[in-house]
Amino acid sequence: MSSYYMFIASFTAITAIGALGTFVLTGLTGLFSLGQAAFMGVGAYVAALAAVHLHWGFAASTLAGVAVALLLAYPIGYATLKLRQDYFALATFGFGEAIRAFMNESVQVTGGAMGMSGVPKFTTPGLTLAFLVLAVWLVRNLKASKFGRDCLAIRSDPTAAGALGVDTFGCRMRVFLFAAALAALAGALMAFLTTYVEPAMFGWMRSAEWIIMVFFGGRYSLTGSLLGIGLLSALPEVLRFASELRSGLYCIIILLIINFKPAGLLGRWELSWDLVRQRKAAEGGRAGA
Amino acid sequence: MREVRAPLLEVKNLSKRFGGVVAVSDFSFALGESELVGIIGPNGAGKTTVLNLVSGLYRADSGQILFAGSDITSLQPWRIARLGVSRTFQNIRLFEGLTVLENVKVPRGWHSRYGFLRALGRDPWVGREEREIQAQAQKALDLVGLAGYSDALASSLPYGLQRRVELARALASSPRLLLLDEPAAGLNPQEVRELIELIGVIRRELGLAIILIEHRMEVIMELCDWIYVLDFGRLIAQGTPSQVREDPVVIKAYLGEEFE
Repeated sequence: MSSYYMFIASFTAITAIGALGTFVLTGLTGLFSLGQAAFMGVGAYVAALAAVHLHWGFAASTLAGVAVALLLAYPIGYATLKLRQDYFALATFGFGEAIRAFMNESVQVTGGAMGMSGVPKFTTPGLTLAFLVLAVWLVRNLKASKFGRDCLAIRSDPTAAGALGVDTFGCRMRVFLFAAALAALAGALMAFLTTYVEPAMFGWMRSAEWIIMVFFGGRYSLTGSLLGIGLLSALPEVLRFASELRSGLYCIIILLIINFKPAGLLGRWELSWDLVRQRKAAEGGRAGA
Repeated sequence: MREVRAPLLEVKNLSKRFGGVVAVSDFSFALGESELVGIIGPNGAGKTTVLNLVSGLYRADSGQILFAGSDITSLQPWRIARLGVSRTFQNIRLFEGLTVLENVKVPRGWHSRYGFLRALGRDPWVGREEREIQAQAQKALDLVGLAGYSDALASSLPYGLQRRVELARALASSPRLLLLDEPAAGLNPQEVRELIELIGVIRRELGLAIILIEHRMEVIMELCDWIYVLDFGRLIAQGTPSQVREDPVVIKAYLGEEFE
């Protein structure tokens, strides 16, 4: 495979890691955050700064990026997670753009709008793949746990969930922190892949794209969301769409999904080992008969 | 009047107003362990408001609510639920997007102690605790006669069965007090009969206390040990079913509405 396709693959895997947070936060829990890309930016900048100025290695810089994103996410979550859903979207949009403005303005540290180059290239395709597998595994476990059910219950009817003993705020906060951590991880991987970071990479449009990918593939389905992420983030790159066309493509997709398949391409369907085993058993049974 | 010895729930001088409307006014009542008490009254009498106050969905303006000896007046709903108060809703509020079994598992989840990080890493004990949650949820579904519907989407079931799912969900957390807000609403006469029997079975098998709000008088009269009658948020009468049935005050309040 050419290095161009390797780059696209790494890029897609990194997008998937960040967008998996959106799957949990928006797809399962119903929280529309337009600030996820800002957490990605925090992860990218902190990791890049730690690597460039402190000469930290990959693990330490990435951990620092994730840790700072978590420290920021906690007070932001505290301030916004009790808001009504529409206000939550607006508030996270505001926080996200504020964080981006901070990156733009603090020229001395971040290089401002010119960006920051000379970041070491730590990210390899194998490393991104390993982190993607880890992220998918974590999200799968989460969805199959009581917290996964709580998320869906909160999305559907927070009042009823609370009256039945679900700590709605606590669950939202955990999910918000988890999604911020995934976004920051994706950001660090991105910085170490492109060796360059600039504030323009982390605007609310990216957060919105992640939401579109998840809803396209299937907001309740991890398999579907991964499919949506893969299709919508790799295809335009491979087909070399102009970025204007890309926005147009998203508009059309949103309209089609809302009108014809509101639960996304795969709906609730989930690929699982049980399913594969059942299929095998059925085939074995037929072969024996 | 009556005296409840060692009450499980004790409500003292409860009041709640919405803007200028007094929904509940100076209402006191109590019920004991494994007792079934009904609250009746004409439309707008404040019955549902009382349940919402007990389960913490509304904040009381004044008064006190004691459950199993502890003051729950200003606790958040989920904390009240975890002390052992569970409920159903007048307009069924099942979790959309979850199967029947998953719906019933939700209120069982907080019984198991594993936290978020352990859920992410899914150590073997998480699997074991999940199986326990599943077993308890299945038991609740068996009790209400829905054993065969586990994997159906809750929202795809007919109305009468959705009512049963809601009941199973309320029971899955093993509550000590169950609040039923018009469980017979929208059911046909046959289903109402089945509901009366089912509530009887639940009482016998689980021995929990129940507060029942209902418009269908046959449900109230057959099931309740004691009845409180509200009108415009005030307690106007109380007694056993036969006492309430004969009470002229109650009949007057219900004048113009069906009351047999």
